[in-house]
Amino acid sequence: MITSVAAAPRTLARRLLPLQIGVGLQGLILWVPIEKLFMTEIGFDAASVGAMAAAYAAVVPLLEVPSGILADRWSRSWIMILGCVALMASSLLGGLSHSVIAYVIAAMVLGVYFAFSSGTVDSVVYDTVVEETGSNELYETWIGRTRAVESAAFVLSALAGGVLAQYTSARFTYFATVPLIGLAIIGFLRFHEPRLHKAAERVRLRSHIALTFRTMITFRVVLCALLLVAAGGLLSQAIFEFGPLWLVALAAPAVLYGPYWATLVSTLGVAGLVIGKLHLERRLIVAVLIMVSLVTALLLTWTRSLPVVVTAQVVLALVLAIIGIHASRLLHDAVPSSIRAGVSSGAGTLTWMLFLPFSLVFGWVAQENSIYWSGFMLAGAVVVVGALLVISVRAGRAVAPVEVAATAKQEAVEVAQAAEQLACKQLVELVADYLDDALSPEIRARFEEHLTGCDGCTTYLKQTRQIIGELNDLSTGRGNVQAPPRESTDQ
Amino acid sequence: MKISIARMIANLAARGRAHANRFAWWSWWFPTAATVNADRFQSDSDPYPDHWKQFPRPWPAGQAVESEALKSAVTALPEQWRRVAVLRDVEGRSPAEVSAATGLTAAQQRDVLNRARELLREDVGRRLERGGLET
Repeated sequence: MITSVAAAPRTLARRLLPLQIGVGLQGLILWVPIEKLFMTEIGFDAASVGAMAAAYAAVVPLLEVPSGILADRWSRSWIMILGCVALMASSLLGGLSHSVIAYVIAAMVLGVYFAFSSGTVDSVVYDTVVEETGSNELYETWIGRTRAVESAAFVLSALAGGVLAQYTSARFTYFATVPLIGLAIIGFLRFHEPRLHKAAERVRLRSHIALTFRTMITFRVVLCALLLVAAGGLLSQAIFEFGPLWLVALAAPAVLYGPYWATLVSTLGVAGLVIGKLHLERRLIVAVLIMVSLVTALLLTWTRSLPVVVTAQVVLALVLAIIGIHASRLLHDAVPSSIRAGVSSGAGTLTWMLFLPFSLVFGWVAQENSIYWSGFMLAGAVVVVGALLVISVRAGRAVAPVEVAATAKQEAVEVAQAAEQLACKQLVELVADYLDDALSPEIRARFEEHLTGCDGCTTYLKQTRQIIGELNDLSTGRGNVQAPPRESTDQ
Repeated sequence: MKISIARMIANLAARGRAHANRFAWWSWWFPTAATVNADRFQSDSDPYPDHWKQFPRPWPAGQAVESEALKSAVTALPEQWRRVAVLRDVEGRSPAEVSAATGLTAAQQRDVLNRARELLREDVGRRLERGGLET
C-alpha cells in the first residue's frame, strides 16, 4: 500500500485540489450549530422540529434517483454546483423565515442539496482516480483525504458559527453562509471533471433495494448486520438532530453551541482512530460499550445539568460511531463484493425509512411531555442496538469473512493463484499484463488454459491485438495522434 | 501510520457520514471498477457466473480498421489514458519509459493501458458494425 501511495501521480493531487477546496468551502455552513436555537426563536417546538426532520428525510430519497441519473447523463460538476445553489437558497430562505412553515420549506430545499451533493463527490473522486491511475486502488486514500477536509470544515464552521451567533445574531449566520458557498461554486467550476462515466456506472436504486431484500432474506448474518447498521445510524442521526434540543431546554448560551457541535462532529473522527485499537469481537468490550451507551442515554432522561448533558451526548455519539463503523465492517464482510453496493445502499435507505417515523414520534413525545421523556426513546433504541450487536457479533464469529480484493485485477490474480479456473470477467483484467509478459508462469498458464476453451475470450484477445497493430501503424503514417503534454490537465 | 489513519478516516467517512445527521447522504456509492462493463458478464444467478453473456462478436473479416475511426476513438479517451495508450502503442515506448513520463508505476500504467485498449476495441467495434450494415 505504501509504495502505491508514494507512486501516486502528482497530476492526481493537482487535479483533485479544486474539488477538495470546493468541498471544504461547502462544509462551512455556519448556521448548523445554532440551528435549533434559531428555530426556537422563530416559534418551533419539539413536535414541529420532528416534523421538519421528517420533511427533509422524505425529500432526499425522492430526489436521489433523478439526481443520480442527471449526474451520470449530464455533468457531475454541475450537479454539485446545483447542490450549492440549493444550499445557498436554503440558507437564504432559512435566514429570511419568521415562521415555522417558511423554515420547513427552507429545510426541504436543503433536502435538495443533500440529494444532489451526496454521492456525487464520491463518484467524481472515484472516476478521477481511475482515470489517472487506471485502478481504484487509491480511491480509499483520496476519498479519506476529501472527507478529512470536509470534517475539518465542519468543526471550523461549528466554532465560527457559535461565536458569530453570540456577537451578532443567529439569523446573521444564515446570511454569512451564502457567500462562502458561492466560493465553493468557483472551486467546482475550476475542477476538471472526469470523462469516464462508463467505467463505473452507478447502480440503480431499484436494483439496489431488490438485491438487498433478496440478500437479507437469504442470510441471517447479513440481516443482523444490516439491522445493526440501520438502527445505529438512526440513533446517531437522532442525537445529531435532536441533541441540541436539550441545550435549548436548559437555556444554554449561544456561544456554547459552537464548541458543543464541534465536539459532537469530531466524535466521528475520533471513533475512526479508536476503532483500530478496540477488539469488538471480545465480549467484555461489547458489554462495556453497551453499558456505557445505556447509562448515557438514561442520564439524558433525568439530569438537568448542562455539563452532564453535553458529556453524555458526546460519549453516546462516540460509542455509536464506533458501533457504526464496526457494524458496517460486519456487513461488508458478510456479503460478496458484487452485491456490496446494493446492500450498503439498502442500509442507508433503511436508516432514512426508520428515521422518518422515529423523528415524528420523538418530536411529539418531547412536545407532550418533555425532551427528557423523549430520552427514553433513545434508551429504547440503545437496547435494540445492543441486542443486535450481541447477536451479530456471535453470528459473525461463525462465518469466515469473505476475503475482498480491492480491485477487479487483484481479484483476478487471486483467483488464478488459488489455482481456480479463470472466468472471462477476470481474464479481461489481465490482458495487458499478458501481452507485456508480466504474469507469473502459473497465472499465465491459467490464462492460456482459459483461452483454449473459450471462443469469446479468443475473439477478445484477437481484437485487442488488432487494435494494438492498428495503433502501431498510426505512427508510421506520420501520426497526427500525439500524446497530450503532461501538464495540460488543468485549465 | 499516516496511511492507516487515512484508511480509517476513509472507512469511517464512508459509513460515518450516514450517521452525521443531515450531512449524511443516504445512498452509498461503492462501485466496482472493472475493465469491461460488469453487465457484459453473467451474474451469480446465471448458469456460468462471470462468463460472457454474449461473446464479443468477431469483426467482419477482411475489413481493416479505418485509421480515421481509430484516431477519433483515441481522441475521445480520457487524457491520462490517451497519454499512456499513445506512448505505449503508437510510439512504442517501453513500460519503464511510460512510467518515467507519467509518474505511474509499471503496474498502474498497465492497468491504464488495459482499460484504454478496451475502450478503443469497443469504440472501433461499434464503428465497424455500423459500417458493415451500411455496405
